[in-house]
Amino acid sequence: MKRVNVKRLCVMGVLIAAAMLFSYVESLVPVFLPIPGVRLGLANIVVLLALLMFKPGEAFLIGFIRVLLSGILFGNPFSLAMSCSGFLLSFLVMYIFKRSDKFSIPGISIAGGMFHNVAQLLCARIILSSYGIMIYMFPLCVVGCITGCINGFICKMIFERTDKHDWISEG
Amino acid sequence: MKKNDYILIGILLILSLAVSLSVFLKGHASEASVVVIAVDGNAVGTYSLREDREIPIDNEYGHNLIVISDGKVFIGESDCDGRDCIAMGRISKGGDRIVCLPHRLEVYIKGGDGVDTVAY
Repeated sequence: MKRVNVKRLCVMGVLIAAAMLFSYVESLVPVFLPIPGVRLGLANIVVLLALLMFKPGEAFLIGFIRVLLSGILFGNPFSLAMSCSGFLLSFLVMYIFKRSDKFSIPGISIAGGMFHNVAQLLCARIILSSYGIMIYMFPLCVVGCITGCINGFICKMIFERTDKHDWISEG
Repeated sequence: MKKNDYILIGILLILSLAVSLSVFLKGHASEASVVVIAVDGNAVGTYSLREDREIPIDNEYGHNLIVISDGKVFIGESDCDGRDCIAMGRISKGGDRIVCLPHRLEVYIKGGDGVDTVAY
């Protein structure tokens, strides 16, 4: 039987809770931009952190459960579909970029932030079946770049100051 | 931040700009391009707003001449009483409409892919 690493499990649970808290807190922060659907994406800090510290599958689980739970608790089916698509693509992109080992943490975060918005826009395009909405591509990518940059540097600071061994070691 | 990061950001931003620009330009070309002429509520013809032409409509109600020129539509001639349809001038945007009530005539422009508001 596969041994369950309790410490790891606990840290994952805490990370999910932290990510959910972030996505709740940022829903309270108003963004004064004339573009619909712009958010800070603070929860991405946690997902990226998990991606750096845990196995890809575990990081995916943390992010996916976060999206599912906060979608059910604070959102509606529409927003759930949007954030789900955003998460899936941004996670995939961040995973690929992290594996390539050619990019820094802020770089990975920026790519994730941009592709999150790209996926959401594509999702909105399908739901609304409107091609004209694609005009938001550039502003949303600029926003994704800025928020991704902020999140990336926060994530980098946390990552550098954390005792990795203590987080994920056996025992 | 590494050099790769800046290259990546640059490429992604240029790509997204290209998408937005193409939609912007295409939107302007495709928006509101179809003119529909209806008599008694039934469409009798659809025409492109891009091609200049004159369309005479003659039926039991009377005579109208609908003119499409320079991306605008107007009624050039009408033998109705009030000539309100001529006074309504030129229309060019999706949803715009000219009506000649005595002749049961409607001329309107079918909107393109116009998004007024999107609620998230």
